[in-house]
Amino acid sequence: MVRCEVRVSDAPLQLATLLGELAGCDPDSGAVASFLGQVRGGEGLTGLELEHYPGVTENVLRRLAHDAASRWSLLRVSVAHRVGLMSIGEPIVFVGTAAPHRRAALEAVEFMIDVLKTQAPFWKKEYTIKGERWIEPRHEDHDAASYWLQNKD
Amino acid sequence: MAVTVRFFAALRDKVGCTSLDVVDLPDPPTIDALAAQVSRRSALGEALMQPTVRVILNGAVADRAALLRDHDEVAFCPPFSGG
Repeated sequence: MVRCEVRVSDAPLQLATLLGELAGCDPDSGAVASFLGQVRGGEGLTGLELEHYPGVTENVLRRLAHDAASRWSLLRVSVAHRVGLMSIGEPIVFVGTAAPHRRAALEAVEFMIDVLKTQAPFWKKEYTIKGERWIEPRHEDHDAASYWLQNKD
Repeated sequence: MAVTVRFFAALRDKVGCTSLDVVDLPDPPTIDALAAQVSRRSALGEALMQPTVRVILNGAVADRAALLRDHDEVAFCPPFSGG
């Protein structure tokens, strides 16, 4: 069975550790792919806060990681997501895979980040110089998730 | 029969609490009927009845027509925005 590591924490993501766990994890792995989402500044943003549903969010992410492992030929999956208060530039989410071949590694990463954006119970609050507001997902985020959820082959 | 209702993010801010216990459930005890009852008794207005609100029942996304049972946990969630 493919090893799927899921972490949700209010501690800063340990990027070197996350990547290090994937690189060289298996002699059959010819490819490691990853995505890192960060807090993007601009438009008066001073900070970001992520809320989640403890227990449920982790289960949803675990199921997503196992879905990825059943759709693509993977050796290892790693998902790490921050919650709590974050500053501009801080990492929010890491999604990584190790696979025999690069196509599977890359596509599985894209699948997981596209789907988790609208299907995993997280809520973002933006703090700006004008005040604070909860973020709504964009149409593009829904379209990206729909693409993967409707095309299961 | 009693269920726990949880609120997250913008809905929590609007209702003013993170959770509440409901002991006098509507009949039939569907999630939709519960949402309407909670809305009538709070400052939520139409917020819980919006189609964009996701309902999570005992940890899994649920249909509003689902029937509630004793000790269920129902969470009303605004659209997710992770990643």
